[in-house]
Order: sequence, then C-alpha cells, then structure tokens
Amino acid sequence: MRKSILIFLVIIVAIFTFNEKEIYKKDIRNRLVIQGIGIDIEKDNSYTVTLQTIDTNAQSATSEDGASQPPIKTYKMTGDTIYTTIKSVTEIEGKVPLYSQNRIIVLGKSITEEKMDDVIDFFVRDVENSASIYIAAAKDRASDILEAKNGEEYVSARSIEIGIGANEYDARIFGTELYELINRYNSGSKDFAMPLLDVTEKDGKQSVEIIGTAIFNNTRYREYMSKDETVYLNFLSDKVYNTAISLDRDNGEKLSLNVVDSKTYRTLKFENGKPTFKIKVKISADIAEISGGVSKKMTKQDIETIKTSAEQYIEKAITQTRKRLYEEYESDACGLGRLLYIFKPSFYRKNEKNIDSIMQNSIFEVDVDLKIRRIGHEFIEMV
Amino acid sequence: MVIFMNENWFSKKVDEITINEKNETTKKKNIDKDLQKNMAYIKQQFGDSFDVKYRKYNAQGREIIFIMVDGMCNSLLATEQVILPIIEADFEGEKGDKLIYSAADQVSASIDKSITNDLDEAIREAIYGSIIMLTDDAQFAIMFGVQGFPKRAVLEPSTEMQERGSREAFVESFKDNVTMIRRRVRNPVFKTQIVEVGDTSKTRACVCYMSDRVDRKMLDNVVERLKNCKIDTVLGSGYLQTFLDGKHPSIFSGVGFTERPDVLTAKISEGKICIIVDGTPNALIVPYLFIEHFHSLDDYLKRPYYATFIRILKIASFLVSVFLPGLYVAVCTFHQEIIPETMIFGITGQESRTPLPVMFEAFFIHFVYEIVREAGLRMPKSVGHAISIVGALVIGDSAVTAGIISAPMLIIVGLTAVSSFVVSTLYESVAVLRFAFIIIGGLGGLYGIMMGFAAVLVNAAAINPFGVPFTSPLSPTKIGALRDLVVRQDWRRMGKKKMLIQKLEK
Amino acid sequence: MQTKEKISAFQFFTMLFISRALTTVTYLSSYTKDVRLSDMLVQPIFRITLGVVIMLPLYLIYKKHNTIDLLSLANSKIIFFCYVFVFFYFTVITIARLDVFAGTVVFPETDVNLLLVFAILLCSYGAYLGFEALGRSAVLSAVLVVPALIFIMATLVKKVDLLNLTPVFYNGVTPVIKTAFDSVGQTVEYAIIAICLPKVSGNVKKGFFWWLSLQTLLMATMFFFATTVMGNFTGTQLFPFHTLASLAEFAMFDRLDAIFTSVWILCAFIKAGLLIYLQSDILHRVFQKIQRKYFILGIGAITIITNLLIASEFKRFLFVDNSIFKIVITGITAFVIPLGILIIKRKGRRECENQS
Repeated sequence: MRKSILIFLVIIVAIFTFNEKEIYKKDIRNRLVIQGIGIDIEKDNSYTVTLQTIDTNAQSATSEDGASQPPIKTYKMTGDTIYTTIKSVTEIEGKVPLYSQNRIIVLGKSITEEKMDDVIDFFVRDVENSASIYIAAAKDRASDILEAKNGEEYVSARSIEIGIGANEYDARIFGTELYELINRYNSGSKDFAMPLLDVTEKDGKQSVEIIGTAIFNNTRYREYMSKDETVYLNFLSDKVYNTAISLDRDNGEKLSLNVVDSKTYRTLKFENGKPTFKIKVKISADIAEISGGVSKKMTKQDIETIKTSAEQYIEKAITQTRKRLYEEYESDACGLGRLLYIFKPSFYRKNEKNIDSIMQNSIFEVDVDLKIRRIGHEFIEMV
Repeated sequence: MVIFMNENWFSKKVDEITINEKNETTKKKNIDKDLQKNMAYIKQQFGDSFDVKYRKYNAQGREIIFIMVDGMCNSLLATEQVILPIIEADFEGEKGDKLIYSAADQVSASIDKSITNDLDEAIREAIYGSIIMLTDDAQFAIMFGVQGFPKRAVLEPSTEMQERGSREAFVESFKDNVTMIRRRVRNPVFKTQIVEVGDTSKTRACVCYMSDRVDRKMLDNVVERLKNCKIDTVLGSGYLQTFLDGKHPSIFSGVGFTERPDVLTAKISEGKICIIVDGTPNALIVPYLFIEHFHSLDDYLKRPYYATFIRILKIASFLVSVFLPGLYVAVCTFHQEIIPETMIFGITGQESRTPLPVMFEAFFIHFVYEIVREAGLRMPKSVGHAISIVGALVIGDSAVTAGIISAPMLIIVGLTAVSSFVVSTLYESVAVLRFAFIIIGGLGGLYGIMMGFAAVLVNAAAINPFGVPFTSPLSPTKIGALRDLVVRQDWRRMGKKKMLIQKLEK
Repeated sequence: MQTKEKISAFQFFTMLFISRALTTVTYLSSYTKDVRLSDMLVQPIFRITLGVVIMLPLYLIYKKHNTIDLLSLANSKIIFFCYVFVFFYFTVITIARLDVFAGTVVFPETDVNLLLVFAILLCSYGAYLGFEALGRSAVLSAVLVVPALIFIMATLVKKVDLLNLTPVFYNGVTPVIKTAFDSVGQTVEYAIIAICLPKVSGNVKKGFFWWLSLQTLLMATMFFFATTVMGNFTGTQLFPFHTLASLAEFAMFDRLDAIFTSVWILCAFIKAGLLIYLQSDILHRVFQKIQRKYFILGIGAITIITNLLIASEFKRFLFVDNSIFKIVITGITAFVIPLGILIIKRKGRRECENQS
C-alpha cells in the first residue's frame, strides 16, 4: 500500500512539474467563450473574422423582458487564414478561445459566392467546433450580423441560433448544421441550402432576421427563396415536423393549417428511360383559422372541400418550388438526386457529369395526402 | 493499542514470542500438586493487584482456595452457586483430583464450569471473571464462569439505522452478542468457535457460522488466519481486518462490518463467516462483496420495487460522491464543451471571480469539508451546533460572497458530502478516491478520470476475499445471484432457493 | 500457456468484445475511396466468413488432439517469440491510436506524452494483476460500454436520414472483400483466441460465435448510424464515431462525445492490458526462472519508448499502422501457425501409425 501511495504521489508531482502551465491555461477562467463566428473575405484575399464572445468580466445584464442574459463582447480580426485570425484574439484578450461553445457560423456574401471551398477545410479539420452547430449565410457581410446592436446590446449569436433552431416548429426556416453542409459538400452535386440572415434597422435599433433560404449550386450561392417558399423546400426535403401554413382558397378565404406531423416519401422510377420522382407528402394538420369563417357553421362537406383544396394548393406550391430549385437555380438542395445515386448507380455513374440537366428534365409527380385531424373549437353540424 | 512500558519489558516480550514460535508447549504451566507453589506462581503473575482476591477455606481438613478478580465476577452468584455449596459439601474422604471432579460434577450449582491443568489458562479465565478453585494434591483446577462485570445495555444501532428492522445493536460483550444471534437462529446449525487473538491482550474472537452451509475450507482458512495473526493487543475488530484481507493492496476491503445482529444472522445464513471480537460492538463479515455495500436489511423488509429503487439511488450516490468533484474539475479545466450552454455563463462568470484554479479550489474546499466533518465527529455534542454554523455560514456562504470559492463548487461539495453518507460503509474509500479523482481530473481531464476509473476497476476486480471474487456476482457473472444484485426479486422467488456464497467462488 | 488462472468463456469473449470494440469505434478501419459507406454495412458478412475460416485449423487441432494448448503443441521458441512480437506490435498500435485520439480530440493543444506514459503504466498494472482481474474488469466495463453505445445511438435515431446511404458494391465486390481482409487483419483477437483457450473454461464454441456475431453487429450498427446520420461527412473525419457521438444530444447536453471518450479509454485499457499480460505470460513460459512481473516491467518500458518515438511524428504512426503488415502477422499467428501445427502433428501421427 505504501508503494502504491508513493507511486501515486510521484505521478502527481511529475504531472505537476510537466503540466503545470496547461492546468492554468486550460482552466475555464482563462478561456474566451466564443458564441458566434462570422467569416468574410476581403478583396486582398485576407480573412476578416468576427467573434462574438461572452464577457465574463462584466456583470450579468438584464434584457428588456427582464430575463438575464450574458453580456457580449465582439472582436474583429484580419489575417491570412481563418485559424491564425481566430487565434489572434488571444493577443487582444489574453485568453485562449473556446470554440466548443460556439452557437453559429455566419458566412459572408464574399465567401458564399465564390470561396466556400476555402473555408470548409477549417471546419472539417477543427475538432473543437461542434459538428452540429448551425451554419448560415449573410446577405452582405457576416460581421454586420454579429455586430448588430439592438440599442446598447449586441444581438446575441445565441438568439440567432434559437431563431434558426425554430425550424423544428417553423418550416419557414431551413436549418443546416455544419455536418449536413459538409455531407452535401462532399456529395456529387455539391448543392446545399442554408438560412440567409440580414440586418434590419428600425428606430435606430438593429435586428437580425432570417429572410429566407440561400440556395447553393456547386458550392456557390445562387439565389434565395423566401420564407414561404422555404416551407415547400422543407416538404421536398422531408424536413417538416411541425409548422403553420396559410393557403388561399378559391373562394378568397385564407386558411391556416397547423401541421402536426408530416412525412415525405421520395421514390424513383424509370418511365420510358426517364427518371420519374414520385413525391408523396403525408400531412396531418389541424384547421387553425379561416378568415371570415366566424359563425359559419361547418359541415362534413366543408371539411372535405378544405382538404381537397389544401391538398391541391400544397401540391402546386411544392411543384413550383421544385421547378424553381431545379430549373432556375440548377440546385439539388433537397437531395432528390441521391435517389438516382442510390437506386440507379449505373445510370448515375454514366451521367454523373451532367446530373444537373438530368434532374431538370426528370419527371416529378407530387401527391399530397392531407388528413384534417382537428378543426379547433368551432361548432360543426354532426348530422 | 500496544503500549511498551519500558525497555526491559519489551525485550522480555520479544524473548517470549521467540520461545512461543519455537515450541507452543513451553507456554503451558502445569498445575503443581503443591498448592503453595501454585499460589506462589499466581501471586507472582498478578503481583500486588488490589482487585485479585484469594479466599482460603478449610473444608473437612482439605485446603481449598478460590481466586477471583473483583469486579469481573458476580460475587453473589459466586457465593451462592460455587463457594457455599463446596465448603458445605461432604466429600467423603475424597481429595486431590477426585475432589476437583466431585466438586465440579456433583457439588457446584454453576452451569458454566470447566476443568484445566494449565495454570496460565486458569489465570486468564480468572481475569475474564471466572472463579478458580484450587486444592491440595490436585493437578487440576475448576473454572466457574460467574462473570458479572459492568457492561453497556443493548441499545439502538448508531451507524446502521433501519426503518423496519430490529432496534438492537451489538454491545461490547461478545457473549451477549452471540446470544442475540442465537435468539434469531433457533437451530443447532449455528455454531461458534473461539479463537484467542493478541499475544498480550488474549482477546477472544468468536467465529460464527452455520455448519450446514459454510464452506469448510473457507472456515479453516479464517480460523487459521486469526490464529496466525501477529499482533500484540486487539482492542477492536478493525485490528483483525488487515489479517483477514488478502495480500493484494486495495482501497476496498473484502471484510465487512456490522453492528446489527439481524444483518449478521442474514450473512451467516448465506454461508458467510462472522467474527465477533470481545470488546467491540462491531462484527466482521467475510467474505464481503462490493455490491453488498449497497444492500441493507431494509431492502428485504420492503417491497421489491422500492428496494430496487433505493439500490439504484445508492449506486448513483456512490458514483456522485466519488466522481462528481473530479468530473467537475475535469470539465472546467479541459472539457468545457460538455457544459450545457445554459450553464456556461454562470459557471464561467463564477469561476473567473475566484482566485484559485478549479482543481485547487475543489481540493481546498473538500479538504475544509473533511476537517469540519472530522471535528463534528470528535467534538462534544454540545458544541456540535457551532460546527454546523461555522461550516454552513463561514465556509459556505461567506466564502462565496468573498469570492474565495464559487457557488457551483459549493453545490458540488454539498451534493458530494450528502451522497457520501448514503453508502456509509464505503466512506473511507470514497473520501480518498474523491481527492484522487480531483487531482486526476485536474491534471488529465476525462482521459485521466477514465484511466483512474480503470485502475480502480481492475484493482477491485483483483480482490478475492477467501476465494470469492469481490466483484461477483456481476463479474464473474452468476445468473442465479443477479436476482438480488440491483433489482431485488420478491421473497416468493428469492425464498425458493438459497443463495449461498460458495456458489460465487471461483 | 500457464493454466493457473482460468476464466469463463463468457468473461473471455466479453474481454475480446471490448478489445475489438476499441478498433470498431475508433477508425473507419479499412475504409478506402473505392468503398462506399453502405459497403461497410455489407462487409461484416465477409468478415464473419473469414473469421470462421481463420479459426478452422484451431478447431481441427482441438478435435484431433483434444487439447487447445497451441504453444504446448508447438513447443518452439520461435513460435513463442512470434506471438510475443505480434502482441507487442498490437500493444504499440493500440497505445499509439490512443495517443493520436487524445492528442487530436481530447487535448488538441496539449502535449499528451506524459498521459501516454501513464496509460502504459496503467495497462501494465492491469497486466500485473492478471488474467482473471482483466477478465472481470472486462465484464464490468461491458456493463458500462454497451449501454453507453446503445444510449448514444438511441439519441441519434431522429437524425437518421436514409438518403445518406450509398449504393452497395458501387465499385464491385472486390474492394469490399479487400476491406474485409483488412478488417480481419486488424483483429488481433483471433491470435489471442489461439493462445488463450487453455485459460478458458466453458463452452468456447458458443462463446466464439456469440463474440463474432455481436462484434459484427456492433460494427454494422455503428456504420449504419455513421452513414445515415453523417453521410459523406463520415469519410472526412479521422475519428468519425467520436464525431457521431458529438452529434448526439440528450436533454440539455448538446453533445455526448464525453461518453464516447470514456468508452474508448476503457476499451483501450482492457485491450492493451490483455496484450501486455499475454506477452509476459509467454515470456515467463520460456524463461520460467524470471518472475512475470519483471517481464511486465520490461514490456512496459519498451512500449513507452516505442510509443514516445511514434508519438513525435504522425508519419511514423502511419508507417507503423500498416494494413498489409497487420494482415500478414494476424494471418500467420491466427491461421498459418495452427495450420502448420495441425499438418505436422498429423504427419507425425501417420508415421507412428505406419511404424507400428
């Protein structure tokens, strides 16, 4: 036993002797907790990295709604590579940056339009950044997003992350995590999508908004889809879990549906040697609102009519979105092209180089099956 | 506690031990036919001890001497059951050894009596409250067990509290302790064997077992180890633990403790062996497995689902008390990515306001906690409240306010402290391991913690108390025994088949 | 092989399962550019077949000679040293991988040499405590490792996207069979089985098939989750399963890679401990006068020196961790040597029969 104690003490002393600096350096008090990283490329090909960090030296601030939120500090540095630029924050703050708590990566327009290849490697190689953090594109500069001020305080990266993370409840946002981006980046088409952020200003107060979904073709930003279109992009990508959609009915009424469950089945068939994609969307939804529908007693027939018209509306919207995506932007951001790769590898191999045109000329059949689950608290004639 | 009075005594003792090792019989002092010689020897042994009483009687021309230690024997009992019947008896011309046998068999009313020809043994018995009878021309002496020394009454257990179990705890008198077990096992299969331990103290260790289920080899091994233990004085059962544990150095022990007769009864009914040491209200149990630390009598007295829940709780508490501080240190020092984002600001903010790195802070505050605990344990009960106030207010609240320690760290200490008492039998191991893991976590992060855990795991796995793996029945896995591992089955199933410790042997 | 310490077949194969799990959960072992991710889901079928074939000579030896003490049958110092070398090589590889893992993922900005030394010391301590202690530790580790892996995978179910699958045999069957060979080459456990059987009591055959099936199932499950959750991102990562664990979320915890790290280190300890033990045991058999603990000390010291040399440069790691070499030495120790012994003994027996 004495020997064991002696050995343990020797080990401890040895580690202290050799590792003492590491203990202090890595201690949480000496870490700069990064919450958001914004990357832009300047005209001289240098990187500008904007870091949003938690200011641990400041006392907890109180936001307008009374909730406590951490004070934020931002840093903006320029350098030759992303790594060296981020590292240079240590010179300013004297603390070692901690990216593992990073909430979001914002890529500036200069990067998304032509330099995506340059930034991807950093995120593949880096082990500290979580692979599941959200990645978003800025309509202009990434630094503008992370330096936006809502009065005295910065708009926190955390609040932007929460906004993007709401895609689970709101299909108007197309959330893309880092690993999904790299997965698509390494796939044949290199097409993907991510939320597009912009800064708006009102009464001298800035806010960061998700204005839609940036569509990429072969790693380059093409255009963006509005938030309403994003809903149908999400339907195509089988990414709708729970959302609200509003539709225009033929009688001029506006109908709101609360989608409680949705599943998109994407199958591939070859008809006359042409790939035919069958997209079957099964939706379970509640009627949430019918504009001008008050005190009009609903009947079974009304429900049936609503169902049919909603199905037609959604089918049409999905078809249009698909058309825009494949024909206008030449992008396979919803990943339908992978069906060809998985189920018809020989065909895919043969046409790998002109897969974009194959997808454009393919047949798409959209079929929506809507189940009205509940109609709300509105009276219905049972007889 | 061994106290060497002076150098001469020490050297004399060493000589004796040497002789004893050479030849066991040299220790025995036969009773001489000459009573005066015997008396001279006894008086030489006792010296001027005031409490040793010699009573000489002349019964029908025969000289009879009774020797007793005042305070150790019950005087009334001695007079009524031993002295009076003997001095009034008519021995019809019998003398010497015949008289001794007659007195023992026909005259005395005492139940506990035995005859010896070893004067040293007679002296030892006298010390332990027997009354010794010697007479002329006899080579034997009678020892009447009329003990009546002051002893503590049977009280409630102080460390092993149970909700529904009996309220009896062991006392210092081993005979009373054995009686408490006898009352619970009304079957002759419950057997006891006395082994004297301690070269000087000659303390009695009573080995208890059930003859119909004990592993004989294991029993012989236990008795052998007790007989061979080289120790001068045994003042408590803990002295023997080292001798019963194997040679493999470990932070865990394959020997368990209990102060409850019902627990001890349960253990021997599983085929285990218990050792009750005279003068200690704690009995030793061998072999004692790791999982048994998480079992309590209450588990078997309550519904199985609740017992299972409590066991899970205990295991979780054990893990928390050992690993939580170390993990916190590791996470704050190396693996900040694990901290949930809702807590990162709170922890970073708090820790950055304290002067010490997290590892030293944890070490310091746990050290202070151990000081407070130890003080609370040793100090008079009347000032116990003061310790609570000092602990809670001065060390707790004020230290946080002054920025010496962080609030999260205080929560960790509190949680760890409370958890460590859930499995009180493992406290010794837990306290040491906790400090070890704080250091390891601070120096090697999770990597270090896992390496430390692996070391503890393999160390525990290497323990084989009396041929039974310490980690069984989980590893080596004994399917039958798993019914009472973490999940406890109900008595209708468990009662069908006895789960004996032999089944877990290698 | 010294047969003083015996463990049950369950303990032994659990130990091998943990040992093999280390390789499974570390690298995309045998993943090459010709192989698509979904091929790795089919590859286990080939692995099982190869596994059974590689064990056939050993099975026949047991059937013919009614003994499974390969070293006794061989009774050749060259063969003894052959096994010592293979076990030493795999110890070095195991520790080197642990070092790369720690240096890349756990402490990316720290020099982990000291921790590497302590890891070897710890494994040597495990070896010193013996086969039984390691066997028991393995079962206890399995109680932690298996639920941990199941938990991680359960939290990933919602992230599964079947569109991330790839076509099977996209580049033909040959690359998949090649990877199966490569994967078997990484499995030093076959050589361990060949050596350790005299120390194992119970139904070895049943244990072997359970082990083979479960480790294949584990491998296939891990690949399934890696492929369907991360898709092509899997192939970009040095430790893809660690990255996979970092994607797992539970309640307020955004990543569960810490659990994975713990599993990893526990598995590495069991594997390296077992390998060091086997080396010391075989050496003790050759040089019976020298106590086993001195061999452990020696092996530990040599392993430390070798690993420190490897750790200083990644190129050296790549040089040592050579797939072809591994296939060759595993093939020799697990298949060729038992087969050779079988043939020689058979020949000997026939000659005896002819003479008589």
